[in-house]
Amino acid sequence: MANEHDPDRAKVPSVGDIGQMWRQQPRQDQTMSVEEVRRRAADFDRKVERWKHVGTLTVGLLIVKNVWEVWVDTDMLERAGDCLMLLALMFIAYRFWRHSRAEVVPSTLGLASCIEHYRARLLRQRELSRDAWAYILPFVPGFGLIILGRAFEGRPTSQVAALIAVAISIFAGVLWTIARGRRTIEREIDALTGE
Amino acid sequence: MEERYAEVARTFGAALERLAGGYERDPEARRDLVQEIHIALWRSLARYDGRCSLRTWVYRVAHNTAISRVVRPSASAPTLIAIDDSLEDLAETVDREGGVDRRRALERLYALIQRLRPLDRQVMLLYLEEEDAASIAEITGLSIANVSTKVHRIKQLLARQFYEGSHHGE
Repeated sequence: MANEHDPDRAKVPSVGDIGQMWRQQPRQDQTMSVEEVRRRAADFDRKVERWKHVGTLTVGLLIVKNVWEVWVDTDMLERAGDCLMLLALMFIAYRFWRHSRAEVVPSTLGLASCIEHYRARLLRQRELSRDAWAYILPFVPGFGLIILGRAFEGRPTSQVAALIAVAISIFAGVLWTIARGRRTIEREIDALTGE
Repeated sequence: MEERYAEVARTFGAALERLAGGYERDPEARRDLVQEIHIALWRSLARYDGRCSLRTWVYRVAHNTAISRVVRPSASAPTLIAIDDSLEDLAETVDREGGVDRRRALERLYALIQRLRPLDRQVMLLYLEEEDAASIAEITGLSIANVSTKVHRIKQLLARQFYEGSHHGE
């Protein structure tokens, strides 16, 4: 009734109007033909495969670089460090590969309700971030040995100290970022539990 | 399966586009999401066994695909400029007299939806598509009572948002 006396309020759509306005929006008509969907699905698969190949190639190149360093380094400590870095790299690559296999395939998306799907996704992300140390720690022994090797090689103390400082900052920064992300995920999981 | 997909695309095509707009502000990202949803539907329909209605299945696939995309840690916040771009497209299709209010209302509505947390967003999008509480509960996995409460709050939120918004916007 107030609408009749208030000219501003008269322009305000009701909740029913809003719903109608929502459903009557002009559409872009992005409907695809069956052939087009099939083609795009194949394109999408090719793109995913391409990224997998890029990832594999990158890990492969890093392994080659590390093997080469093991080969050319003369200092025993540095060689041992390079070997450990190589092992860490392979371990991390394996973990990522295992994680990527656990991703939800599109064909099962209709089996889970929205809350189940969202929770499962958040739990996977939390698991990944909870294991952050497992991605960082494997590199520490190798890196430590390389630094020790360089220190014993007679490099200036300032150079070795700077290297240690940079390494610690990077490790701490990565762990802090991951921990921050994990707290956000945990808050979201807690909120879902209350639903 | 091809016939079923064609039927789904025909029946839900417009709703899926609106749904994508609730997740992605940027028109380009929105188009990509619509395509991603169609591809996910195409693939998922082979697994559809009639345990739930086709409607529930379609909305589950669409929302789950959208959520997977939005909650990616690398996802960046959409820009305001993109909203104006998409609204300019709409402006040409509505009549001059009522166009401005309608455009503003839709702009506010999308901005409101995109600010909502995932489950609230899903409930709101389904409510706007005229799904009843039981259907929304089946799609989202929430209880009917919880959905009813959320729908009640959504109505209040919409009423407040549009009433206050209209005054601030004048």
